[in-house]
Amino acid sequence: MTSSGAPSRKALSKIASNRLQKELVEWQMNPPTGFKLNLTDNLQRWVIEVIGAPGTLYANDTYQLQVDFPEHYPMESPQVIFLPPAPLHPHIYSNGHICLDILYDSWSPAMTVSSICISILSMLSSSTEKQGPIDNDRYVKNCKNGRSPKQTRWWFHDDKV
Amino acid sequence: MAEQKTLAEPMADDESPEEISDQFLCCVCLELLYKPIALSCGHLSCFWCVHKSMNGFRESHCPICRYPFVHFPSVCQKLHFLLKKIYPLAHKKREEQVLNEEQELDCFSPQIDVVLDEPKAMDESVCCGDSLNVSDPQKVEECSNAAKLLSTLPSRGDTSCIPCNEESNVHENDKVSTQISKDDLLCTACKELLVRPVVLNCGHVYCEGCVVDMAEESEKIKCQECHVYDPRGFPKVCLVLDQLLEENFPEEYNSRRSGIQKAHAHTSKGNIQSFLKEGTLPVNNNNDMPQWLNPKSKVHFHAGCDSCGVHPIIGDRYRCKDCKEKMGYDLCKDCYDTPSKVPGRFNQQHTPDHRFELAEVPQLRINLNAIGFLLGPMVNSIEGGGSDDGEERPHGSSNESSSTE
Repeated sequence: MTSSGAPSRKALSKIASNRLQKELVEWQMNPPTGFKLNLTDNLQRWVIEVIGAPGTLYANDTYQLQVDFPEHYPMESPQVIFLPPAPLHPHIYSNGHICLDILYDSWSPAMTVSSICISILSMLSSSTEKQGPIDNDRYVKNCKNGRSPKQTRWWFHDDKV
Repeated sequence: MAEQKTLAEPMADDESPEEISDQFLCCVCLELLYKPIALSCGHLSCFWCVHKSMNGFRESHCPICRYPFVHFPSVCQKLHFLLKKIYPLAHKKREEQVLNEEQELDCFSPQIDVVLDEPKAMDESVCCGDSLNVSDPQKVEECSNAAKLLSTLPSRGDTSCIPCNEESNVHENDKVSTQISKDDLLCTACKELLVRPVVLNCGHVYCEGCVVDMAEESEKIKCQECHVYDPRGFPKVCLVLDQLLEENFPEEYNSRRSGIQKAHAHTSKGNIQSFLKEGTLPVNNNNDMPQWLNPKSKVHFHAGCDSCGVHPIIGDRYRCKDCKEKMGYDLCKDCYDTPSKVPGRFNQQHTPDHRFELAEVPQLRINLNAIGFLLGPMVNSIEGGGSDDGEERPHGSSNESSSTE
């Protein structure tokens, strides 16, 4: 038995679109606290409003997450970025790219948009300073022309925030 | 941009005729488990969901717990038929849906229903007769309920007269218990109700204790049903099946379990820990480096063995010259050397008289992108590079482990 998995930026497969419909229904019945989905007619791109958790540095701040789904979601991870202005956070670059392992190497097809959102909010909540990454300028300069963060080779080292 | 399905589109097409208990939803497609596969960690997913989420370059990880595995197990037919019995309508719908996808891909999952439908139907009537002789009033009621339910169920395809109101959430648990019988959940080894069930690589289900006994005799676990060795470590208990047993046969299950605990206390068996952890198996003898990282080892990317399911095949790989299916039919060296009659994992029409040839090892150009693939295959290679990728390692990061509830 042989198979091939070529990544691509095509329209959603039937399996992907079925699964997203299911996630959407689940989201509408049971939305994660601190998030608001801005409905559009495009199932392949979700724009989600994030409200900083009370009692954290980001309390009452609102940000926008943009989630783009690949053809073979959930076998491939979605592309998740913050729309400008991105929150100031040691793991979030000013171009909206998020350094979070579950979005790249540690993605699992059992994860959902909802579980991603909760991870991102928890990452925000555990931050002790509102400051961008030290290498922000170099990284953002290297990401020309809207390159996807999925094309970055991330290096995950900090498990505190 | 390509045409998209709209969010506002009504869900009529997706409306499931039965309310499916969460435990039987596949964690990947979020639908009723179809042709379920139990990984060595005991977690379940559909045949295609497991196959599609497997890594073609190195070991794969359970979508739920990330437990590593290298073998693509066979479908657990026992659970497959149970789900078919409990949710006949949703199952039928899944069957059609998956068959459509398979026809589009021209690649098929094992066709198990055709062969086993008839004997199973007979089993069912036999079991009802059996239980009626038992002087347990609950059992009698169970069976008569089952009979009623079967008789009220309309013929397949005619969904208009389903008693929807009666089958709502409230009766969910009752419904499950009235439709499955103890005979659907017997261990092949001890012929009694399964206790702490484990699913072997071949898809057959045994009590954990029975598998420990089997392993003690021969060092390896040999399935008593299909006489094939489990090439993996000791599989963990399938908790979904375990819960199903406990919920539906609480008294018998608990008495069986306590009986087994006593027996174990006597003999102090269960050297389960001595088994290798699945996924750590293909380690080079000379050092601790996994073979897929060793440029000298022959890793057949994206190719799996149709007998034991090892994926990718490392070392010699034999490819059938006569199978016409696009998928092809491959064997790893061990399985090629052992005469076995296992049919293809994808319904290939392979027969013992087919001829084999040694397949060539695909040559991966060793460059930074290839190494990136091996180290973290979810990271796509950089398009139209030019600049050194190594420069672009951002420093901020988060290793947060996610909860996938």
